[in-house]
Formats: sequence, C-alpha cells, structure tokens
Amino acid sequence: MGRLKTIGRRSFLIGSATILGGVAVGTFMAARPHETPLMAGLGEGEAAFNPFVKLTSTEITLIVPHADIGQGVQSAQAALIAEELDIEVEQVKLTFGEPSAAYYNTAFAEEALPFMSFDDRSAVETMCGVVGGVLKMVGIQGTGGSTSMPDQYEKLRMAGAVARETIKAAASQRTGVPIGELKTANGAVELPDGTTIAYTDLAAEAAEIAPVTKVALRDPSTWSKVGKPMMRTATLANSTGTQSFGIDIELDGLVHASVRANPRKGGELIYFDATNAETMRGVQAIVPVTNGVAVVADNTWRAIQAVNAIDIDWGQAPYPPEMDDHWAKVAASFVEERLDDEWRADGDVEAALSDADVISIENRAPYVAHQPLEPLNATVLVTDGAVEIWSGHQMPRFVQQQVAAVAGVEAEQVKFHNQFSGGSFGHRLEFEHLKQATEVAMTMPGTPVKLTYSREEDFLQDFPRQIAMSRAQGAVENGRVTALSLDIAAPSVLASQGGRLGQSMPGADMQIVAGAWNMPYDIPNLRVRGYRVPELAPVSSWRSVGASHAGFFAENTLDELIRAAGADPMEERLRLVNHPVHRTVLETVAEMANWGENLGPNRGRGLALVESFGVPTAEVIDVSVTEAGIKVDRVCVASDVGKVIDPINFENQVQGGVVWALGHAINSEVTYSDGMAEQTNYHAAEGMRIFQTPEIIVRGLENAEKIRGIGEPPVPPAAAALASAIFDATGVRLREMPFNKFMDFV
Amino acid sequence: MRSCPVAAATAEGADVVTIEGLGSPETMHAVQEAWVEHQVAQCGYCQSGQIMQAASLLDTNPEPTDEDIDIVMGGNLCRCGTYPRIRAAVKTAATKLREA
Repeated sequence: MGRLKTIGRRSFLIGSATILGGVAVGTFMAARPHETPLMAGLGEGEAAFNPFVKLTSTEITLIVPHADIGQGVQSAQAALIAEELDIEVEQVKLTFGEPSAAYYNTAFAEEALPFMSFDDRSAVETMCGVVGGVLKMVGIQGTGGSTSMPDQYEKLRMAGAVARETIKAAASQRTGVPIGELKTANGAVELPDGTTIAYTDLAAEAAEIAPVTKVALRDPSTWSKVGKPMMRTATLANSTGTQSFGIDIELDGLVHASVRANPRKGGELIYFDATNAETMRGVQAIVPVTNGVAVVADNTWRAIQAVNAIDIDWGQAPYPPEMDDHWAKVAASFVEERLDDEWRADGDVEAALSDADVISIENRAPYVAHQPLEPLNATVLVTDGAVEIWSGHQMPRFVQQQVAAVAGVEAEQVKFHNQFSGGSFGHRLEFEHLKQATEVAMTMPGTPVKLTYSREEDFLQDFPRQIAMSRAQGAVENGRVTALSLDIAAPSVLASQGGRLGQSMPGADMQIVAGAWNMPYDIPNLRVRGYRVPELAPVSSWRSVGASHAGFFAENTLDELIRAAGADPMEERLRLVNHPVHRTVLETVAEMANWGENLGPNRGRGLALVESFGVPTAEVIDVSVTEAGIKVDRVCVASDVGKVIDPINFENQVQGGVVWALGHAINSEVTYSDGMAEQTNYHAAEGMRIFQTPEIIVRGLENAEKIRGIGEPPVPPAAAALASAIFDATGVRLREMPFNKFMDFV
Repeated sequence: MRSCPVAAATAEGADVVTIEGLGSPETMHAVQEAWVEHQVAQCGYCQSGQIMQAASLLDTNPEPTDEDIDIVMGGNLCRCGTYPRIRAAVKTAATKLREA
C-alpha cells in the first residue's frame, strides 16, 4: 500500500473545488444530507420522499440525477429506482435532476484517487469515504468519468425502497392492514384480499407522514429489471424523429443567434466591421460578446450566414501558432523540472536496464476533436433579476454558477433545464456557448435567444483531447519482458479545464499516466513517470480522458517488447497479469477470439488490455491486408464492470466505444496552423464510417468486487490492439496516431 | 437524399417525405420497427437520417448485401458508433418489407 502514503500531498480537481487530500472533514458534516430540491415545488397533497421520487394524485415522477448524453443513463437509473419501488418505467414520468447539491456524485472520488481497482478495499474505501464525503458536502453534481452507475447504484435503489415503504405506511394507515401484510407491484399496493390501491391514490396521505428510512435493499437474486435486457426509454422517440434535443427548444418569441469567437482560443477580438451583415435578410442585431461577435436573426441559418459575413481581425493565440512547436514543447518536457510524479516503481528499473540491450520506443497521440453531431447550442431567457437556460450539459451546478456570473445574479436565480444531448464525449463539459448565449440574451430582456454554433465554429472552438508523447526503454530476456521504464509527457487536461473555471490545480495529475501507471502486470522492473507539459492549446476531457493516450502508450510499448522477446502476446500477458479478475478478462477474450488459431496469409491478430475507470477491458482485433489497404475484420471485447445493468445497452456502449476509438486512431487529428484548428468539418475529421466498421463481439463479466461504468473503458485498448494486429500482419509497428498518416486503410 | 447538402429550391415540385411522414410512434414503418427491435440509437441525433437513408435503400434494393449497405449508408455519420446495429436493423427491415 505504498501509494496510500503519498495521498496527503496530492490534490484532486473534481468539479467546483480543488480538494486537498490532506483535508479531513468531520463525518457529521459529510453525513448531513442536502435538502431535497423537490420540496420547494410541492403542491398540496403531493409527496417527495427524497430527491429522486415525487408522487402526486395523478403521476409518479422519477428524477434521474445524471445527464443523458447518449449513454442511456435515464433508462438505467430509472430502472434502479423502479426495481425497489415496484413500478414499471413506462408508468412514470422521467425528468433530469435540476442543479442541486442533493445530486452530488461521490463516485468521482475513486477516479481521482491513485488506487488500482484491486487495491485493499478497506483502505480504498476509507480514503474514498473521506474524499467522497467532501464531494457530498460541496455537492458536486456531474456526469463523467463513467461514474453514473457506481454513484447511483445504491442511492437510487434506496430511494425507491424508501418511497415504497412510505407509501405502504400510508396504505396501512388508511386500511388498518399491518404493513407486513401489504405487497406492492405495478405502482399499486395490494391488500391481502386482493384489492389494490394505486400509489397515486395514496399521495396525499403519504405526504403527511415522515419518509420511512429504515429499509433494507433487496437481494439481487430477486431483481426483475436490473441486470435484465431493457428497452431504453428514448428508443421509440429516437426511432421516430420525435425526440427533442437542446437544439429543438421552441419558445414564444424565440430569436436565433450564431456567434464567431476568436479561433485562436484565448486570443482577443481586435476589430470587427459588420456593415455587410447588418443589411442581410432576417438580421435583427449585431452583439459583441467576449472575444467575439454574435448575430441575432429570425432563424439560425440567417444568423450563421450573417455572422460569417462580418469582417473580423483576431488577436494572437496564447499558445504556439504552428503544430511543430506544439510537438517540440512536448518532446522537451521529459526533463527533471517537468516531472509531475513517479507513479509506479516496481523492482529496480535503472539497474535492470543498465546491463541489458535496451529497446527504446517512442509513441505519440495527437489532439483530437470531440464533435458530437448536435452542435453546441443554448437557449437563454433573461428577465428581471433571473435567468432561465435550456441546454444539454454534464455539469448542471457549474452551468448555474457560470451563467450567474455572466448575468450578475445569484446562482439560485438561474434556472437550468437540462436537455437530451445529441452526443457529448466530453464536449458538453464546457461553458463558452452558454456564456455567449447569456451575453446576447442580456441585451434583449424578455426575449428568449437560442444560440447555435455552425459546424465550423464548433470545430474551431472545440477544446480537443490533449496531445501526448511517451518515451520508453525496455529489456527482454529468454522470451520474457524483464524491464520497462515508461515516461509520458502531456499537458494536464484537468488543469486546463479547471483553469477555465478559475480553479488552480496544485498537485500531480494522474490523467497524464491513467491506464499506464496501473498496468495490471508484474513486470519485475517497472517504472511509470508523468511529465507535465506547460499548457499549449487548451484541452478538455475526451471520452476516456488520460487513458486515451496513456493506455495506448502502455500497451503499444509492452506489445512491442513482447514481440521483440519472441513471445506470444496473449501468453506473455497471461504470465505477467497480477490479478484474477484481469486474468479472467484475458482468458475470456482469448476464448472468444479463438486465440492461437492459424489465421492464414495476409492476416494479423493483436491484443491489448487496459484498466481504466476501474474496468479491466481486453480487446483482440483481427485485420486483413487488402489491395485497398488494411481492413479491420473483427474485434472481440471482454470487460469486467462488476455488474451489467442492461446487457443490451452494455453491448451498444462497448461497440460504440470501439468504433469511437478505432475511428479516431485510424483517421482523425486536430492540427494547428496560424493558431487555428485546421480541421473545420467532418470531411477532415470524420472518425469512423459504416464501411470501416468491423464486427464487434462483446462479453460483459461480473467478477469484480465493485460496480463500474462502461462508457469509457472500451476506448483505451482499441488503438493498441489495432497496432498489435497490424504489426502481426505486416511487421510494421505504428507508433503514432492517426494511423492513416502511415498506412492505407479500407 | 440527405437533406443537409440539398438546397430547398432543388426540391421544388417534388414529393418530400421526412421522418415525420415515414411513420409515427403509433404506426411505425418497417425500418423504424427494426430500429426499435435492435435498439440502434444511443444519443439518437443522427438516427432520423439513418432511418430515412435505410428506407430509401430498401425502396430501391429490397435485398441489400453488406457491401450495398456500406455504400449507401456510408454518407451518414454516427458519432456514437451504432453502425453494427444499423447493419443488423437494415437486414431485419428488409426481411419485414419482403414479408409484408
């Protein structure tokens, strides 16, 4: 447990506050619950048993605390409540949690702390309890880090159980039947004689009694919903064009705006001339905003046309204008004064390398854009002393705070209506578009303004995935990997994001080495160090965050050493793997892929295993060499999340994660020239299309002790498994993404 | 056709069917039924376009091969990566339409 000793000097940036590891908060403070936000909105005869369940005489509302950005959290979290409440999800109304400390996310704690998934649980729980308590107290409400399931797995079932028992108590009071003789099913209480009373009929009485909080959770063996195939709640709407996203908001008197801000992000607007735009059809107003200018018009298209007609002189970027300089800054960061931390030091790597033939390996990962299909947008209505805002966002309370700061009102005066998002992948963690929409709306109080980015603006303003490099030295002996020193240099994505919120991050950033420092292998001599590159272009969390580069570096480096040793990639990893859960993941994927079979000519097979967000995920990729280039034939994925909530959505998330990872590893990067991103639409950064998509076979395992999320863990192993397969097929080792710079793909 | 790269003026005089005209939640088109059965959507934002493209494909080619699907559906991006399910749903929809 050497890692535990060092926690005191680290800090963790998790949302609105930088939480110092040394700060211990009394359990009383941490245990004190936040006020249920539903209480304020309750009418006569309406009941709210906790922040998650509301009952009226006509309907039952379940409040889903997390944002649905395509991962299907609304379905899964509603099912957790419904499981204990004995109701069908189809019978209830579902809403997203409003900004409230009551929807705190304590699962962020574990991702922020330097533990491996299999570290001594009691010690881990103690530390996570302390940090989690702090998170609870400050009320961090957020969706990210694949935390939605671990955060809510117990809380929502408890919320359902409390509501059920309170409703039963109300039924007992009315009928005189002892609570123990009452049953519940399908949103109704059943009396021993078979008569039923709908929950809604009991709302007024339930509202009069204190919630029954002494409840026990049911045994998982009795579950009828959780763990079984579900129909996602939004599937019908998404299949019939009836789903509403933030961009679809309609309000009386709505006007439409679009904006151009300095594409040299952080640079100023020096001068603009809107003469041409002013007279264009539909244009109502030209509004300067921070570092940019917006146009208000009668529809979005006309606003975009007009804003593009404005003549603008942009100031210089605070980062190097050309890409070569970015790479040079990263390459120059492998020096003592940039050492962020040494995260792993097993054996004596210096000694082991000094008397060996050293193999030196360098890998690179470029900036990559998020680019969900729904462009960033926000609808804002400013009225006297208050602001209302509609948008899809992962951090509701920060939305409130950031918009309040722009509007000059208290956070409580900002009412945020979270919307379904047309994808995010980390894109909807940012606030610029919300602040710009607020700036425009402040010039026209009483009129709602919908601000929508053009696709080009969305690309130019995106804060991409961090750029990164690794330098490794390794040694092999007698067919085995004996030593690995892995150094990784990257800007701190958390410091970049925190900086935009006015937060500093004094400690080391584990994301620089995420997925690498926690390699689940007993290599006799293993060292992993992180080097922090001073901020270049501002960056942001991108699906799987640090593990998207560091997981690739770790496994692509290890794979190169294994192949250099002449060992089999699967057998050597099985020899090195140091925990039974991870071993089973490897064995499972080997069986799925029929590892060891003869593939025939012009084919190759590769493997990678990365633990990220506490989830060990192994992928085996098969490729063919064709006249048109490399073809990815098949991907087998085994992943252990402790408990699979919905096997259908689990498979969909894993398949999507693989497509996401491979599409970018093969095809996509963001490069800067003259301080601006050179890729401004999908033709230049398209990720994967259907014709490149392989068959993807998925198996979810449930051996891990703790439940985890699946949104991000399928991403990190994919690029390394593909590089491994391509090496197997061609003898060429790809060490830099995107791979299509070096090889043709079908 | 994909509406985003088509100027409205070029559709003058033409019959235009959008996702709203293909079917409704109560009376779905076979392609939409297949999309529900396979639970294709993740965020759902691209799916109206995917469904219209698939309906158009099956209108002209009732028994598409994997290659046909890849070519015709290749212009529609899905950032969530639902392509494996789109392929499966197109095949299910083709079967439904043939049996109808």
